[in-house]
Amino acid sequence: MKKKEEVSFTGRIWAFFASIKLSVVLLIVLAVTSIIGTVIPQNADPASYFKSYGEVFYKIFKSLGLFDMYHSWWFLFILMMLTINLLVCSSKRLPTVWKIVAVKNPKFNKKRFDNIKRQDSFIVLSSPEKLKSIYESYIIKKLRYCHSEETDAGFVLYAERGRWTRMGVYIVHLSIIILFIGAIVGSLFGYNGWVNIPEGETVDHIRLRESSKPYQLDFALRCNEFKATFYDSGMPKEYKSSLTIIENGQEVLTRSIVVNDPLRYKGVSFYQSGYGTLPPDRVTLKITDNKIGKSESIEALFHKKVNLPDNKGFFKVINFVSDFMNAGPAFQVQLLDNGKSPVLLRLFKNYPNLDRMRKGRYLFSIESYPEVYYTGLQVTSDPGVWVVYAGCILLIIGITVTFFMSHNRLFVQVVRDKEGSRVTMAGTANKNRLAFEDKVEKITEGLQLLS
Amino acid sequence: MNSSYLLSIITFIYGAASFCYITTWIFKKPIIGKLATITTYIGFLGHTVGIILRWVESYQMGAGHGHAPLSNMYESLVFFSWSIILLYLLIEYKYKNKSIGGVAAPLAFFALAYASLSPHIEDRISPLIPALKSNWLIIHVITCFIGYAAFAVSFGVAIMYLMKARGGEGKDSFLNQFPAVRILDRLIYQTITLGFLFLTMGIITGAVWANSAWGSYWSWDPKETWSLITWFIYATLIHSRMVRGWRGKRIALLSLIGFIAVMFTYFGVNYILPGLHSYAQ
Repeated sequence: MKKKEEVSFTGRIWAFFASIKLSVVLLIVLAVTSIIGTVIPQNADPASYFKSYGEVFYKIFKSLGLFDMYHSWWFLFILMMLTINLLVCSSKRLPTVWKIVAVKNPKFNKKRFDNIKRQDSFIVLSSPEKLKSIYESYIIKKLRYCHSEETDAGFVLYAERGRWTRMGVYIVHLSIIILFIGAIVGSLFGYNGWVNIPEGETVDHIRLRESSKPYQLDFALRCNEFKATFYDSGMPKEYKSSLTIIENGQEVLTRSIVVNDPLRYKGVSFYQSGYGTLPPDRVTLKITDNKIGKSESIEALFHKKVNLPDNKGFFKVINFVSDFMNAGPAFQVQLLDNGKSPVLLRLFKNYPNLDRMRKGRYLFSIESYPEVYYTGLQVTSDPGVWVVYAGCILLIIGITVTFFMSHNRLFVQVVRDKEGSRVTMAGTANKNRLAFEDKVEKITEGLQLLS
Repeated sequence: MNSSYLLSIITFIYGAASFCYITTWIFKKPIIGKLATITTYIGFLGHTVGIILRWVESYQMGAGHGHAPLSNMYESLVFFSWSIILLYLLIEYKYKNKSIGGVAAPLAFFALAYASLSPHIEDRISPLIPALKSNWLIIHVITCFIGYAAFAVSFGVAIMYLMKARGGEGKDSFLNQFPAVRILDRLIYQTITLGFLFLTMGIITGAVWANSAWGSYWSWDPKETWSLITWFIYATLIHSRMVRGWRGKRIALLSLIGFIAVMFTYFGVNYILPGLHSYAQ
């Protein structure tokens, strides 16, 4: 009892964080809580939440941060606990493992040899003196490290491979810490925004995604052209923007980007993420006089009075909708025929004869209008991404080492036996023991053939 | 003959192989086991040809249409099934035991049957949309599905473990055909570590791809999150075993839970939760 009380407060905290039980609990808690954010859509419109969950649940969910749960204080807290747990666990165990790994020129350890249950022996006719160099050069080929020592009765060999692989677990844990560092660097010093640039125009600021505030870039960006191509089936094939970087009034770089191939300049990346067309400022209408059957093309600017062909009245283009009630682009035109009350026409690009149903004197249809595309770009700057990638590579290496490589040790004892020698072999591995036993068997066969 | 027709024939070959493997549990005639293995090898060969044929067909559709057959639900199921058989054949070769075929072959059969026969799954080749046009597509899908296949085999072996551990050691019991519980236990773990490595690579290649397509390597999209949940579950299993020394039944049960998460990541997210991977339907 007394001993327990002596454990200091910091000691107890250390013990708490050094427990693998905590890691397991935290991993399970992370797995279970992460589900919430896949069921509740994240960062959606508050009104839609209100509609789906009702007032009470909306308030509860909001106070728990469930609408942006992966950035909520409690989720970050669990991640932080896991990080501390990882660091404490690793630093507690690392010294012990390091002691094993850091050994220089390890030698034959009699005790360890005696402890290995499975030992295979065979007798050969050569003397230990003759065998020593033959065995040594054979085994070093198989295991990379071999140390031999002469004994009173003959000699012993100790060979091993992959001592460093004992560090695999620590490579994995270190890589996860590096991942976190990269993510933190990104969230502190990076930004994420978007910008729409009409063809031919130049911008020097973007809008940040979270706050919708404008963000000034160190240079300007011009969209020279946007092009969307489609397969015969109508599926999109490629979205391509030609962009030019302009710095201090000089064109520095011109490049085309497509989805999956962004433009990177001075730490800022521009991704093809959308497109659209700007509302036109004019439209060319075809006006047919039903009385005399003559057609005329007239270009009309928005909100400007334009005379009708017989000059006895005028019309005004007042509105454009890119997709009116799923029927495609439509213009609204106000018609003031002399002596009649004003009429509002809705003209559809895809249905040029629809205006016939009005049975007016003039038949209006859309001939053409300028379609200016704009490209939609996602703009990000993430100085932490290379740290994250380094962590990722280290993680893959670490997992490979941890699960698929092992520290193999081979003990060989050769004792003079009448005219020849008695050879005893014993192998051990920290992982995947059976595979190494097979290898030892093969080496044993090889040695028998050599002697 | 086109690839989808060939692959639907392979489905029936795997069905026959599954039947043979399960029969070896009951009748101890070596000839049935041999038949099962031969059938599976034939199926696997045809399956491989089918995948290559589909690849060739996509190039024959016209300029700009050609792509590796790993781009939609149908193609992923075909590759998933292929990976399960590949992994199983390696295990059969290494362990010289055919009883695992009784769980592995049916899993591959169901995956391929679902791909070939379900009316909800489009088996026509369609060209790639801009988001999928990336070199990361191939490596991402291959790593993910080799991982899934390893977890599937682990799931099958876990079921065998639970059957054997529960069903005593009666003299005539078909459970005697199964490898010893010790070996099953180790096999569950080994396939999980393999799956864990490939799942990790799958998540990472997906993140790198997302960063090159959308400018963000992680956006907590449901597919990403569920793959991470799966990763957490298997990480739990590995830590319980490596450090806390859990063996046997507990590991088998965790393997079942892990595979449920895999299946949800694969199908559940596509059909229930919306997100960036919706084109995978």
